[in-house]
Amino acid sequence: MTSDRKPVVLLQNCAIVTGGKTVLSSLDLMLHAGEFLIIEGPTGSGKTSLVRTLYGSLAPSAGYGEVVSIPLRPLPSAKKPQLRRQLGIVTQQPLFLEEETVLDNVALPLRIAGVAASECRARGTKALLEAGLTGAALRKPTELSGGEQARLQIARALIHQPLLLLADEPFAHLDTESVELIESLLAFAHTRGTAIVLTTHRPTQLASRARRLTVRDGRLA
Amino acid sequence: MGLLFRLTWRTIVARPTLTVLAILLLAMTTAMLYGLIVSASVISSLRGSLINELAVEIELADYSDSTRFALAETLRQRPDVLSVKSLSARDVLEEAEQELGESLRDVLSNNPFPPILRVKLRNPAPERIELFVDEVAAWPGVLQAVYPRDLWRKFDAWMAALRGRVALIVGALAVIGWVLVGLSLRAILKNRRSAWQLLTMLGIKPRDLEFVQLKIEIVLGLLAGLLAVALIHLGLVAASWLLLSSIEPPSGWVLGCIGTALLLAVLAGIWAPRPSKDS
Repeated sequence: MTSDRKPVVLLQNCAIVTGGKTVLSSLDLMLHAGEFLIIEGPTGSGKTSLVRTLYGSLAPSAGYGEVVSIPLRPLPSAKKPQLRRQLGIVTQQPLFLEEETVLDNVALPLRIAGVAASECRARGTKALLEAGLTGAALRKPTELSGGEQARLQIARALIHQPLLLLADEPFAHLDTESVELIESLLAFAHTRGTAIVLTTHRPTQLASRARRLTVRDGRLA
Repeated sequence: MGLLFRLTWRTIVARPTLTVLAILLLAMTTAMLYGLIVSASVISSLRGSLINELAVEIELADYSDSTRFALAETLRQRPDVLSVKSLSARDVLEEAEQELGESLRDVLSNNPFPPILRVKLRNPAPERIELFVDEVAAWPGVLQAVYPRDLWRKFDAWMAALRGRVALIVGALAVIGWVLVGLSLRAILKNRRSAWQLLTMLGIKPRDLEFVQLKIEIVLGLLAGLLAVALIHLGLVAASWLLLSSIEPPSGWVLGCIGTALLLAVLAGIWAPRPSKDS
């Protein structure tokens, strides 16, 4: 599509091994800025391992890989923060600082980057507004419903305008209404030019705006 | 910094029971360590007091008062002599009778005690006393010069054994405290593992998380150190009251005690899961 530009994700003949078992092999993937990629496949097929590889939690055991121009193999611990600060990450099981408010949680990437408290509050409030969580700003994340927690996670992943959003099964365990809200948030992020890798095992309305790949038998096709 | 400060504080208060347990264990270990060190130091200082009280007894072969006074005067002229007490043979006999509480004159036909000069040395040390005794024993008119040489040897041997045992117990206590505090710290940090994972995933620097752990260790160490100081102070007050004499701890013990607790807390961190290792 735009082969002259530097890709946001580049995997060449990569293999991913977890717990001594090869989960994915011969993995080739290229994703440019602003692209939307949906990776489908049944539960346990290796989608989460692929996402973890992209944010440097798992190292490819073979091949070459880079994300936002940072090589994944080898990826020293000191380089991981640099990689992750350019990414938005949405995990299947949302993680929050439970004792902090929703507003504090949504602004975490900014707080980690050392952004001033006043700007964190302003941008956090705006992010919550876009996620439809304005009324929950001063509540604790544990007081939110599953759908609200999923939206909070996406708002947090997008607040620092990352180059790449990695969303691992964001629709899992959500009702239809929540899924639609999440889909609209992801579509909005894509409209703003964020590259997105979304893994899911269920059909989504976002398919129309995305390239789709399937994980099957340890291969991405 | 605000985030790291809050993270530190939240981790400390997340499991109050564990935190209190860690502080108590650390304080007790430090107090016991310092209690032993203070005890050993107090016993050590007894040696100085005893040696200061020690007198060399010079037994004279010549019973004449003039010889005794002349020798006493010669000794008083020496810079290493603090005091000289001159006792005639009769004085010595009376002293012995006072100590025994009965009359020896009824039992003994002759006074078996020679006249003596009881000498206290200035800034005495066992080696200097030995030299003094050897020198004086060779003087004309002197029968012999004696001091409780064996007592010193026994005392020194006993002190050496005591120091060895104290060192062993102190070492064992330090290891036990280190392990127990480490396990408490491990539980405190493990409880917050999801927070570490989240922050690591969001790109916090490993050294920032290491710093949070270090701050937690410092806070626990500081609180435990202060508690240990209070415990030792109470112990000293109680011991002084029981022994009816003031017990002086080693100088700088408050700082030393807090420093020991801090060191133990930081070393105990080795047992804790490193937050920065969460990939």
